[in-house]
Amino acid sequence: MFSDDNAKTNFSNIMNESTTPTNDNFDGLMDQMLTDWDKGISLEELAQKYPFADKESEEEYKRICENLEKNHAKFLDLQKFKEQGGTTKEWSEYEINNACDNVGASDEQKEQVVNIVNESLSGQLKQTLDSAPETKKELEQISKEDL
Amino acid sequence: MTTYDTEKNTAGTPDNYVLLQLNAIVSQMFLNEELSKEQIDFLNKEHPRFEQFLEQPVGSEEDLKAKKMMARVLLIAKERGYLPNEIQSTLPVKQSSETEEQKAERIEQTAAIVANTTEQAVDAVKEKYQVGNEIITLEEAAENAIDKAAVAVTNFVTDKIIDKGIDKVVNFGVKWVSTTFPPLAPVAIFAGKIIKQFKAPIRKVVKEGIEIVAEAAKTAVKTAGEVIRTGWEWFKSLFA
Repeated sequence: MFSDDNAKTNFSNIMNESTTPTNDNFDGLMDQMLTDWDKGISLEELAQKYPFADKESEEEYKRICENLEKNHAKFLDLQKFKEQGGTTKEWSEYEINNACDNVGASDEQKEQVVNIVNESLSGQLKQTLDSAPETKKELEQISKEDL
Repeated sequence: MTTYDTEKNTAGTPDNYVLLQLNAIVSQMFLNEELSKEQIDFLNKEHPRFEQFLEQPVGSEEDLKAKKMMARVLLIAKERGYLPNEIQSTLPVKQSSETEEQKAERIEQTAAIVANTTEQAVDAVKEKYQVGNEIITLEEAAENAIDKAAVAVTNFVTDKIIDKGIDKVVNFGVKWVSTTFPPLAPVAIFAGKIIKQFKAPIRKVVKEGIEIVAEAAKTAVKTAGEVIRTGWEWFKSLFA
């Protein structure tokens, strides 16, 4: 009946999981949307199946997509920039200079913006490093039964 | 398998593909019928399409699609009151007497926070999987993480320069960034929720990646020390 042992084992795991349902609506929602995703539906079809009830969410989603698309495109730009010998720092400063030039910022203002980006990034990355062991603990706690 | 509130499913029907598949499989077992290749694949993989994105290079088109899908999960969950408290608490609260300007600001901030949370959580899961599976080295993972952060912060600040003007950015820059980029706890919560959706062997690889990165981070924190204040010099030291 089963063509291999793995399928049998996985079936058994799935059946065991299905006998212990949780009432976690968030996990259920994600599972349901991922299951639809597995069936090969597009983002547009997903939007039709899971429409937002609120116009504000629609607006938020539009902005989120713009944000994600811009970050995605700029990440690829940065990789090309680095392939041509540039550094991440140079790329960031180039982008800041362009934006500053567009609004007629002074050299002093440009320097201040570069410092803001550097300071913010230092803080972000330090936080990431500082909290990595904590993050590990949290993730283990969340998925204790799974991991 | 999890249950969920089908009454609040705006699609109107409890269309649960997983349960339907399982029902069909159980029926066939009783009838001693052969399982199809699709059914065997189903038993082997819980979310095969989503899992495939873990194997693809960082920055692939599938990354973007996965993030847009996950952002929809977060916003639908927000509407239905399903968001974990740790994530909900990072979002601005709607005031009863809100001006149009305040409303626009709240929507903008919510969108930025959800986008950053999604981006960081999805990237973190993929990064840990790729490190755990030796698809990328620890150094490559760190470089990707730094590049992603640099892109996100640079984009955020340059957008603000265009939208709000240079004077406001100079005055509020660091504060704006710190309120828009979420603390790590909600990102870890969301990443944990994503990890739970993968089948056991994948979760195991992700866990290995988490341990490798956490150990390396501990060493980096120890050695970074005072150098942190010099910003980019510190980033370079990570690769020294």
